[in-house]
Amino acid sequence: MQIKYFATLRDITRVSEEHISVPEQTLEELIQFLCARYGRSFAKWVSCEDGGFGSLSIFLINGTDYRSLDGLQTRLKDSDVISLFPPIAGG
Amino acid sequence: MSATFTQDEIYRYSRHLMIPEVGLDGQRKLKETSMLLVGAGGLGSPAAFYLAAAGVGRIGLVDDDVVDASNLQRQILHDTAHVGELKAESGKEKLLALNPYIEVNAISTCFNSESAAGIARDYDIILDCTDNFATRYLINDLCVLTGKPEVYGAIYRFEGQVSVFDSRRGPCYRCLFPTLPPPELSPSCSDAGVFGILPGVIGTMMATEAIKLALGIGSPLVGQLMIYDALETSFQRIAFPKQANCEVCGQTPSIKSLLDSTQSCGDATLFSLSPDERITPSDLAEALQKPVPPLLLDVRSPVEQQISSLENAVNIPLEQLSDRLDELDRQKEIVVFCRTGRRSARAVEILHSAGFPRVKNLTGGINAWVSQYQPGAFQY
Repeated sequence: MQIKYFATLRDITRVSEEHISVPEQTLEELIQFLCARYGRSFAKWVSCEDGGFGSLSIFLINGTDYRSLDGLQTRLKDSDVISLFPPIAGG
Repeated sequence: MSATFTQDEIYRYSRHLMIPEVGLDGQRKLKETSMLLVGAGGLGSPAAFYLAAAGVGRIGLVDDDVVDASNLQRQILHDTAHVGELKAESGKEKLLALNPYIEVNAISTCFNSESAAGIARDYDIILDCTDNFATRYLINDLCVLTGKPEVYGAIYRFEGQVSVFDSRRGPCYRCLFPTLPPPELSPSCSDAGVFGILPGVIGTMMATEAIKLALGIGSPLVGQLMIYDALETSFQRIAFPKQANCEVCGQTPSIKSLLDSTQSCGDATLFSLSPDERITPSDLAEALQKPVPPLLLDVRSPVEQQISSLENAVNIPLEQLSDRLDELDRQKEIVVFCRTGRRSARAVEILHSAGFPRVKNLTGGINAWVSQYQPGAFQY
């Protein structure tokens, strides 16, 4: 599937998008996989550390807010585009 | 009593009066509308100019900051002659020069939980042009609690976001981002840098939404987040739902009054390090002469080293520090620095909580060091 990173997440991953081939899984499993790959700086933004995934950043699956789908239990397909948006505050 | 116009005003606004969606009725609505811009910086600059030009009857500019030369790369409401002056006053002068037929209120006080309600009371629409998370949540809560529409804009380097929060008919900022990020995850433009024209695009879109709200035309960005990527020249519009369990606009809200936000103004109090955790440039100069000098840790981005640098410093950008602690010797004394001492203060906290015993923050950052010990090198 295609993963797109924005703003501060992009600074951590150092890529704006990438393809990841994984067996069918949930959004929660994907986030855990990405946290293991990109480490604590990344995890802070997606809140893996305290178990509250997504409370800081929002996740889109094919442009739709994951909270409008099945939340973290949303099942992903290989053709999906997942976008990860952290909040930004500059002005 | 509805607003009236002089011949001069009619001529000034004539190109609006010729559009059916605005017309004389719409122009009258604009003149009768008041808008508060919280922040007269990157976003507030273009927004304020267009709102004034459009004939919004009363504009409030809140900002307790003064114009700095490093603002002028993007904050076009101010100019070289106004460096050192209050932004709200500098902005007021510019807006009235553009359009003397409107009223502009310069409010040079800190917008926090104590002052916010009083400042915003007499305005119809609030524009969030601030530069920090704490004030953004404060503005959101205020608008929800007082039933005002809010136009939101935010930027980071090459990316911008725009939305309209109106909890009477859609989601609010807390529905979108429920949790206030901790200070160490909140880089400002002065720490992160920003592509100067980006706030021009986003601030102008904010003004567009504000004018649409005042006129009651088109489809405002309620429940929609517009995301702009200047590098890719892409706009992405996403829908986000109102959250039934939102802490401020949900069915059983826990936030019923403004939360304390005194940390939102100024940056000195954000990270209070003890004297043991700080080192002045002169003490560092002395320490570097010792047989075992401290390890210098530069937490700026690599590109900043092209402007100024310290010899033998190790570079680990702040956003990567948590994942690269293994590269540092825990037994050594470490002096951390950045541009001004803000990012490095966060780094000191990260290192301390990771168990590094002897870590100090260079007060004033490399700018302070350069001014005393590297004549000819640049401050920025």
